[in-house]
Amino acid sequence: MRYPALLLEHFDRPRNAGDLPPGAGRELQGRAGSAAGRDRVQFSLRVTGGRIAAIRFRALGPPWLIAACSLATERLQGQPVAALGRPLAAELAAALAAPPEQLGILLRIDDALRNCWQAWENRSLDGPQDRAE
Amino acid sequence: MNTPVYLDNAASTPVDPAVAALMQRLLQSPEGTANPSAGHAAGRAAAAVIEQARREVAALIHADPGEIVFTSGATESDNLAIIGAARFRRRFGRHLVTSAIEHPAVLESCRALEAEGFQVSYVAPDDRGRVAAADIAAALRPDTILVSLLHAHNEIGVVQDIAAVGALCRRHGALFHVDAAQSAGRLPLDVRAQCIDLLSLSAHKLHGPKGIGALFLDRERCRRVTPLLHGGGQERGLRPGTLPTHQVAGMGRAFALAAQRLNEDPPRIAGLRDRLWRRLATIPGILLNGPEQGRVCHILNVSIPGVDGESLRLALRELAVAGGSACTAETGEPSPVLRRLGRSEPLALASLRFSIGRQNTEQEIDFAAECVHAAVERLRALAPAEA
Repeated sequence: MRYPALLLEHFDRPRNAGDLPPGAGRELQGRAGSAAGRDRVQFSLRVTGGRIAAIRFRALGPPWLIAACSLATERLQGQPVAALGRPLAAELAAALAAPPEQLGILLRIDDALRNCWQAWENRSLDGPQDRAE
Repeated sequence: MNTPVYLDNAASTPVDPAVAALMQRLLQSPEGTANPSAGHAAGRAAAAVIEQARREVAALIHADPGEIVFTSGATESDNLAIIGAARFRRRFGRHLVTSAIEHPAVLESCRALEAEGFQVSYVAPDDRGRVAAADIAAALRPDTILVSLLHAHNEIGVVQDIAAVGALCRRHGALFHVDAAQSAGRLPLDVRAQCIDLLSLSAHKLHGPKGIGALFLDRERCRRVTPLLHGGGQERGLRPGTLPTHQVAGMGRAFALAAQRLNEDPPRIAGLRDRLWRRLATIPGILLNGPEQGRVCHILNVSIPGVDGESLRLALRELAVAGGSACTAETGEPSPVLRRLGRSEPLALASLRFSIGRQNTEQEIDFAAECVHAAVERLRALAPAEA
């Protein structure tokens, strides 16, 4: 298979991979994956002032998933936290010119980000970081 | 060292320079131009080239030259052996025996025969891919006309005890076909001593050209099979069509070189294979697919947990290696052979088949091991913890 240049760029040099560095703000985490454990995605992010101040990902899966996670973090960095609730997988698939059969796996990204959004919606507003927002 | 390092010699080998030189000379010579069936001088010269190659191919397997039929490759040889022999002998029985992990050229030939009303027993291997002669014996029936078995497995390299199976086929009165595409030139082959009636060979697996192969047919026990192609009377009417002189000659030269190097290349290649395994074995959780002992010299197949197979192969772009089998790589499906051996779907997908050729060096093997270590560490570091 011939892979597009943008995929190779993000696969070889993934942006924002790993865990969040220490910092102030509310931390959120969302995960998603296949039942069989063949592929897994995790996003960790920090919200300050209602915006995504820092975001990191981890992924186990095909190159399309790793590259799409990397691309997603670039697009979400600095965005209002409400962007977490917006479906992103189709947009990422188009940007990477992913074959149609990969879209199912890329939907894990939407699932994981939606879990982050739900964690944000369900947050308790009693911590010092919340009063600061 | 040039990259990518080519470690996919079970799929195809580089053409030996001496083979390429011979073929190039023939392509620009009168005997390379003439039809070997023509009666003029150039045609007779071409026929002499063909017969020299026939002797060279026969010598490697201890057969008589007249028992060699040239084909387009091992796939056609397997088809001609299995389908041709079954159709020719259908009045004696309609049952065949093979193993469940054969090459697709064998399995699909058997399925084609099943569509014609033949019955096929697929003997299960053990979890290392070994097919027990006793299990073959148990599958034999009075109406069994043919048993077909890979000598050295193209994916996991396991070597089957073909002499034992050949002997029991001889006692039973069934024909015995062996696909020796991976073993020819790497393991000793003696069609008489190993009781082989039909044997498939490929040139490009042994530093010869693609597009040419051969089928051995024992002149006493299997002189005739029903041809698959119809046309002229070439190759005793078993495989009609003008013979490609330069390719046939290339196969002959490649087999002659392999015969000369039979005591030199396989031990050196096995040493490289073992060197690679020693270096890879330090990857946590890595699994060897196939038996520890009893593998052909050039194949090492491993599964690596905790990584995705497609990502692993993309991260190894400096290596030319196969994931599972090149014959099934296009499907994106896990290797049916590895699944048969009990590997989970993720482990079957995260498998790598390294196959070493006579051109590979220790430096390339060490580089390959370093690449795999680095790729696995990088991909595992990216992965989230299990829930």
